[in-house]
Amino acid sequence: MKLFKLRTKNLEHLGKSRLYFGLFFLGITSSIHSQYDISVGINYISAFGKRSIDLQNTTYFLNNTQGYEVTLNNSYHFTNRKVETIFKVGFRQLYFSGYSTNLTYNGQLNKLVGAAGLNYLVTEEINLSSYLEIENNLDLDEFNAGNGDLFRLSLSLEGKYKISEKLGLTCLFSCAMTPISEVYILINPQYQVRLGLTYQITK
Amino acid sequence: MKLIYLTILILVLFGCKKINVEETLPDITNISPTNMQSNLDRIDILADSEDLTHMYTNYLSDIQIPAEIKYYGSNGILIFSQEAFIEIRGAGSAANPMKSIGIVFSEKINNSSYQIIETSQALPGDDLSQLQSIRLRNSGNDDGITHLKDLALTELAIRNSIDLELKYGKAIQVYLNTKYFGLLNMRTENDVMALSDLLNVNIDDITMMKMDFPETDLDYREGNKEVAQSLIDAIENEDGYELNQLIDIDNFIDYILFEDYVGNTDWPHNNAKLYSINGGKFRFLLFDLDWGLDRNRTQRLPKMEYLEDDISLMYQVLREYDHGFIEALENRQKELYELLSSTKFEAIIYDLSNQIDSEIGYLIQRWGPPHSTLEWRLNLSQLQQDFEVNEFYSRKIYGLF
Repeated sequence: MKLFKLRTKNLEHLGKSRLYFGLFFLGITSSIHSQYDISVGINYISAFGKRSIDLQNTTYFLNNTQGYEVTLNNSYHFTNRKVETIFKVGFRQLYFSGYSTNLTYNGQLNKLVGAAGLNYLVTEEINLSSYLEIENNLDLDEFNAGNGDLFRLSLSLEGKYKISEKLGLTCLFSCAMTPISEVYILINPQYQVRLGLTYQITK
Repeated sequence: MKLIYLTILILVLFGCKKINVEETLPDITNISPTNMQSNLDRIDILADSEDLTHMYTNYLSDIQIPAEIKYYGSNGILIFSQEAFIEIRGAGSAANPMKSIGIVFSEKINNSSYQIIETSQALPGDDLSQLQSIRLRNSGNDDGITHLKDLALTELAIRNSIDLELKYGKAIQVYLNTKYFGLLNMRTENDVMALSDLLNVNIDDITMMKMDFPETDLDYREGNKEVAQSLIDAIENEDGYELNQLIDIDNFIDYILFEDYVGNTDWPHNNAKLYSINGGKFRFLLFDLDWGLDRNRTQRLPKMEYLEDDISLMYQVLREYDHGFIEALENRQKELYELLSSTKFEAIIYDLSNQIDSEIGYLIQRWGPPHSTLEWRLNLSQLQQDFEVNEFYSRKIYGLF
C-alpha cells in the first residue's frame, strides 16, 4: 500500500521542512544579545576545474573563466563571543570561453547568489569564515518547483583582513558540491577563487 | 503587484546564460536528395507550390493536398516513388516554423522490402511489413532542443519490450519540392489505418477512443460505439468489476508505469488513446513523450490518485476495487525499475545522437534553434541529466533503490 500513502508522506516531509526552517529562523532572529553590521562586497572571480570536458562524443577545451560579484552582507555579532553569523545575497557574472575541433565559443553567465555562514574573529584585523553558498543552477526562466537541480550548493572558506575601520580585503575559495554534472561545469567550473573588498555601511 | 512583476522580470533577465558560437555549418543552398552528404534516408515531397503554401499557412485547418513522395536511401538512390495525401499534423507544435507532415500513401508500402522503418525492431505482436500512414515529426515540444527526446524515450520501451503499442521511427532528411526542408523523425502513426497494418487486423474491427486536452473524458472516435460506451459507463459508474473485464490490466499497468517512469507531464490529461479489436479488451497506446522528463522531480502516479481525467479515474477505481491490482502494480513497478535505468537511456542517446551527429548542422543552418552544435550537445546532456534526476526522485519516492 506504499503508493496510497504518498500524498501523506509528502505532506509529512513538507511539515518537517517547515519546522526545521522555522527553528532555524527563530535561531537566527532570537539572538537578543547581538548587534548586526551591513556591508557591501565586490569580488573578482577566477573559476577553474576540468580543462577539457566530453559532451556527446565531442571534447571541449575550456579557456579561463572569470568574472565579478557584488554582494550585500549582513553579519550578527554576539556579545562577548568571537563568532558571527553572516548572510549574503548578491549578483555574479562569469565570462567563459572554449573551443573544440570544429568551433569556438564564449558567453556569459548571470547568477543570483546567497550564502550563510559563520565568521571567526581571529584577531581585531583578521577573520576566517566558512559559508554554505547557493546560486541558481538552471536559468531562472526554466525555474519550476517540480524540477531538480534548481540550485548549486557550494562550500567556501574566506579570509578577511581589515585595512581600516570600514574597509576589508577578502580572499575566498569555493567548491561546488552539487550538482556538478559536466553539462553544468562546462560553463560554470566547479572551483572559484575570489579576491575582493568589503565596505562596512553600518555598525 | 507591479513590484512582483518587476522582480520576476529582473530575476529572469539576470539569472540566465548567453552563449555565442562560431562554427562552420553545411551549405544548404545547392543540396538535393541525391547529392546531399548524409548518412540518413531522405524524402522529397513534391506538391503544387500554391497548395503547399495554402496548407502550410492554414496549418490548423486540416487541409489535405495530393503529393508525390520520392523516397531515397542514404546513398541518394531512389528507392520508391508513390502518390499520397499530405497534411500538417500536431497540436501546439503545428505553429512551429518547421511543421510536422502526415503522409497517407495511396497504396500500402511494402516495408518488408524497403525497410523504411526497420521491421526487426517490432515488438511481439507488431507487424511493420506494410505501412500506409506515417508522420514526419518535428519532435513536437522538443523541436529546437534535442530533436530526439520522444524517439529516445520510445526506444527505451522498445529495447525493454514493454507491453505497449507505440510509434516506431527514425530520423530522416526531408525536402519539399526538392528544396531542403529539415531533419525530422519519420514515425509510424497510431490511427486506425496504421493500427490495422501494425496489428494485422481489418480497420472496421478497431474501436478507437481518445482524450484530448482540455477535455478530460475519453471520447469515442472510430469503430463500435457500443464497445466504447460500455467503457465510458464503467468509468462513470466507478464499476471496478466491469473495468477489469473491459481493459487489458497488464497493458494498463505497463502503460501508466512507463508514462510515470519517463515523467510525461503532458499526460494523463492529454495524449491518451486506447483501442479494442472486435470488442476485446482495450489496450493503450504510448505516444507523444516530448514533454517527458520536463518536471523531473514530479511523479505522475501520486497525482493520479486525485486527478479527474478518465485515465486517472480508471486507476483510482481499479485501486479501490481490486487489491490484486495494487499488488500487481507494485510487483511490475519493481520489475521495471530493475529493467530500466539511466545507463540504458544513455546508451540510447549515444546511438540516436550518433545517427544525426553529422546531420544536425543542416537543421541548424535551415531553422535554428538549436543555434549551434554546442547548444544541441548541451541539450542532449541536459536530457540525460534530467533522466537521472527523474529516476533518482522516482526511486526515492517509491522506495526502489
